[in-house]
Amino acid sequence: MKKHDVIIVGGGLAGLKAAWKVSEVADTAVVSKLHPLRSHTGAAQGGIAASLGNETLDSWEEHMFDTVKGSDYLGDQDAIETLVREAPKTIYDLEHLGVAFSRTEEGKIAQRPFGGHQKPRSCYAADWTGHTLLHTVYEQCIPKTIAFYDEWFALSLAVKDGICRGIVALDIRTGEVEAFHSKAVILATGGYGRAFKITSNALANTGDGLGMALRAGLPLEDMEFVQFHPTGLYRQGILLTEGARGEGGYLVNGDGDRFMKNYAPEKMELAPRDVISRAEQTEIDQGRGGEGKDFVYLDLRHLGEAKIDEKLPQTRDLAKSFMGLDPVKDLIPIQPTAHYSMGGIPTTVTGQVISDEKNTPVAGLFAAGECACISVHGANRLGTNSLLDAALFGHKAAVATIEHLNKADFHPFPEEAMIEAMTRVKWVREANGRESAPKLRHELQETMTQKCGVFRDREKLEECLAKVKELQKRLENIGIGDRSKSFNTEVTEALETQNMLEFSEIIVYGAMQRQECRGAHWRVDHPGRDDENWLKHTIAFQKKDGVELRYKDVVITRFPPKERGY
Amino acid sequence: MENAILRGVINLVVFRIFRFDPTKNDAPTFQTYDLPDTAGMTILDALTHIKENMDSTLSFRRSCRSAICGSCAICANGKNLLACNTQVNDLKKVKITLEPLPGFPLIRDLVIDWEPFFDQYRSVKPYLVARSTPPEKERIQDQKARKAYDEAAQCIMCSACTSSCPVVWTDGNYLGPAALTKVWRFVADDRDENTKERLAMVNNEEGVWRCHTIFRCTDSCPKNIDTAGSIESLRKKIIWHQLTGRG
Amino acid sequence: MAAHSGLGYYLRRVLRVSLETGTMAHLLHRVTGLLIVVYLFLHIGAMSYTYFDAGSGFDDLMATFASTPFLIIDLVLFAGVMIHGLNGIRIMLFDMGYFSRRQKELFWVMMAIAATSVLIATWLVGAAHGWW
Repeated sequence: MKKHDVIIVGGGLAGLKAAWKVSEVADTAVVSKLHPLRSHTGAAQGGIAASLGNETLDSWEEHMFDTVKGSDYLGDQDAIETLVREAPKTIYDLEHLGVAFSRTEEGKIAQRPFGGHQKPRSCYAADWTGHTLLHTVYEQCIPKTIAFYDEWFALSLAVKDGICRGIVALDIRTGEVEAFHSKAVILATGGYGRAFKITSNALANTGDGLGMALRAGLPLEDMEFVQFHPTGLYRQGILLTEGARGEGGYLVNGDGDRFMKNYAPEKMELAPRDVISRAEQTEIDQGRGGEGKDFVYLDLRHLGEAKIDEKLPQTRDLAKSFMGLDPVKDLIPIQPTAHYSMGGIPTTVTGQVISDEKNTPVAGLFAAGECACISVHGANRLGTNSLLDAALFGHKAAVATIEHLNKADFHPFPEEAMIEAMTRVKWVREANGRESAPKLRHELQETMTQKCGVFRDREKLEECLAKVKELQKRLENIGIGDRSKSFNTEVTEALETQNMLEFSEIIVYGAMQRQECRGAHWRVDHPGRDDENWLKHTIAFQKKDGVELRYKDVVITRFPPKERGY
Repeated sequence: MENAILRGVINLVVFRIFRFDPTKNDAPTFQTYDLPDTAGMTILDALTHIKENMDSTLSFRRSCRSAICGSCAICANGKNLLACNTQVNDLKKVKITLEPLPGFPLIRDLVIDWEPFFDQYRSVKPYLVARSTPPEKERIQDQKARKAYDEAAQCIMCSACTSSCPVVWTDGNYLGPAALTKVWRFVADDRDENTKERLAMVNNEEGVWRCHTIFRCTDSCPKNIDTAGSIESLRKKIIWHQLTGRG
Repeated sequence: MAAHSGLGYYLRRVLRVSLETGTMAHLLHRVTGLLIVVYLFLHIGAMSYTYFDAGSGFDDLMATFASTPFLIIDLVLFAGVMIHGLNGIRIMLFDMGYFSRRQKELFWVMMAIAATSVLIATWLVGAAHGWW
């Protein structure tokens, strides 16, 4: 058994920012299934939002309004206010830590326009903003005393009587299962785009923290809201930054038209992601895709080689190595790609995880980053708000944890948690059924993309739910070929598949019940937003006989819901 | 035959993959897998295909599959590269030998132990040190100063460079191109106030002077960073500092 | 498992590397360096011949060295010295901060100079010894 005051699960931006802060006062450990530098934060490209006003006059109120409107009024406005008010300080702190922000001519942090933001407020480092944030924060963790458990796969949360007492994790390298006893746990396990076939997410983004929470009897919030990013490379889903449009890129259909004029005449290519993804899907569905197929084009040719190389070098590299196309002279085929999960583990503004719709806290359990739902993104996240969310609420969760440590002590570690995890690992490692876990995963991804994608309806969702349940059943009968204990990725991938099957049911069920169109959740059979019945958060529990949904009111302070047009 | 395959008359690529499981084998072996159609496939796709359909016991690291996380660096036909952004057919070979990155201890199959590599990286204090109190807002840095460390800051720590260095293969204590490029990243950043200590740290025989200027590191960098050039820049800076009496 | 550094590891690896220009320069530099060292010892040996044999042996030896096979060896040596020296200059240029992004082109420029000098030397030697 390992013992630390605080265990942080996940080594991305949120986790590392939390570790950096907590380690000032407490014995801290970071448990991550990847080396922290391999985390998916590094893939964030376009920028991190704050109303610095370095390019034009800007204010947190405007940032707040844009975020609230972008969230289709589902975001909790108290949380959003915290997010936008503390954003500038967060950015300045990051700059002081050494983040390689691009600069304006006066040497201030450069900012560029981004979808849904009315002002240029995306602070960026060319198109590798996430990379420099991740590396900088990790590097600043080096001189601190933090125990890093790299390549340890977290299996279970040890929650008993409403108190979190640690986690159980698997050492991927040796195959040993071990308990981590702690006074507090911060979950920062990231998103779950891998439940979809076309996704911008890393192969590691399997929402393991969500599976852990569900198995510990905790609910998930607003899981039906999955963001589809408009510019994923055709077929591969690899992200091309929204910064490409921020810098002036066009979207054109197979006929060569800038089709956004029909959907968002004012904001055009800089409308929020949900709006553009639907526009693209509509063009494709109505036969105006490129070559009549299921993609449209991103056109950067008019930006010129110099600008592309300076501001969007990675975009050019990605298009070249993955499509063999050069944005300087070619149109790039793109399609909507599953990108971000607005939902997640419900928390308060401080990052305290709550166990029901009445905000009952789970003592010693905190969450931050994409795995958490605070909710600052509501039904649709604006680009550049996620890095901000991770950096800021990672820090906040750390502050809340420090406060918790003042009055907390180690509670006995529940043996059941260890037994449950060990049994599960043993089951997977020795499984000799006839189903193949990778095949189940592919079937899940195919189904989720086809039936729970940009456009949804009752029929498709019902089929999807049936399929997910079928896959859950079939998972019990998997077979594993690799019996080794040394770096057995077949076992960890099967455990990931299990996590994905668990929370996917929540996504689909929540989507089925929510009979309206709001943000990223679009029900063709229930057109229009329905504030009367659905201006509320879904809180979903996994019970023995299926999913139980409860609902929680949205916090509205400054901006009452209005129609959302761009 | 090679030509026939490359011309698309026959579609077959033979993957010869390094296999080793410390819990089962005493010595490594090579196992071959034939893939009939590799058009449009990256090496990572090929590895995934093999793992999912032919041999689930094959272990390798991967994550972002878009050349930014650095997980999938391996050695293919003697050259270090990222599996995720290399098209199989671009190698223009019908037989592709995949090995773990050379110069590091092995864990299993294509998975190497990065700890010695990260130890060296951590040993060079790879973080901004600024003793002066920061301003309330951001530090001002002009575009030219920002550009000075632009390239070095894009390093993804995949270790392809350090592992490709013949000097590293002879001398395990040499800091290697990745750690040295990291040092240059901070020396070149005018916000950093630790230049003197950093230069002293690498001004020795296991630092910049061990480099033999072979350029394998630069050649193998998937982000096209001139790592050898970073080492040269450090040397130049060290000499300059000594000449002007600043060192 | 075997060690992952040291001379043995280097030799095993270096036989399997892909031959990029820089690597080729590195290997050529080592090979020509060894060649020059070996020659140096032979040279010292040949020179010390006079020390052991005060008779006509030395003149005979010199005559042997002026024969065609030895002249060819001399030319090979000259090529080695040129390659080694010019590549040395190339590396010094890098150390002074020049051309590191142009290292491949610089290598071929140096090799072109080496090849030209060897051709000229061959022509001169050939002319002096009546090869043409």
